[in-house]
Amino acid sequence: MGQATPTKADSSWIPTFREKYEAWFREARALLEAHQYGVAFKTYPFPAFDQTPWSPFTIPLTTTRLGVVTTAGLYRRGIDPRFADTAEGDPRVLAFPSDVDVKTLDVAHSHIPEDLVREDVNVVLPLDHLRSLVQERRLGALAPRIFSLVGYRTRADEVAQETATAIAAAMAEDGVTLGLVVPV
Amino acid sequence: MANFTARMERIRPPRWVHVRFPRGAMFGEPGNHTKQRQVLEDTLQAATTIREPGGKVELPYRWEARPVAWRGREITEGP
Repeated sequence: MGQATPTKADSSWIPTFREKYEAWFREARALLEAHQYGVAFKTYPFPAFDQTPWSPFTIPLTTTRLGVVTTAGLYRRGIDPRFADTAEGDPRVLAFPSDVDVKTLDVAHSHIPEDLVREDVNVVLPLDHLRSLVQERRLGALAPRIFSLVGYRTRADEVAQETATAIAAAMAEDGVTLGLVVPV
Repeated sequence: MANFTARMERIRPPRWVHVRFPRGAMFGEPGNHTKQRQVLEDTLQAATTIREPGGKVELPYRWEARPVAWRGREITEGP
């Protein structure tokens, strides 16, 4: 018999990561600022996980309240400050109402072809289709907030301990029963 | 969902869907609303069918527009 499957992600990797990160960043910073990501990340201290967190999902989609996270760096023009393009990545998380007018959304993510997103934001955040599914009663509801961040972050420890936990807590507040994370 | 299997094997998410589209377009081509909708429906459905930790569903859809120009490469799937 093996260990019980955990419901939360393992964080035992974090101290080792932190020990190695500063040395890595000192060497990699100039490469990152020159957009030499392939070379820079060859020596990145990628965390290794021994287990997969798991909670069974048994709620019908017709009664599910869906929370959505996009890492496409979406922001609302004229309301949210655009994400900054930095060597370590902008750590901010934006929350905007799920009934946002998609025409007001713009993208600030230098690690993806932004023109695809500007042409049709549904390629990264299918809000039109999510709303249709709710209207057709094929999905219970969209959570009141969508969470947006930039997927390029080098501080994996901060993503795990701050970003992810803050979003999870906010989704719990919003009554989310299923979370969808859309990386880019 | 993700378009990069090696990365997901490292991250070990509870459940995920593999899409074979280029970075920046996880739901398919701009303007292809039928495909975007299908990808979304299949992704949500996967949440109900994946029964084991780390389970993955492979979606069959492919990029049907011009390759995406990205940093000196032309890509139709993956990062």
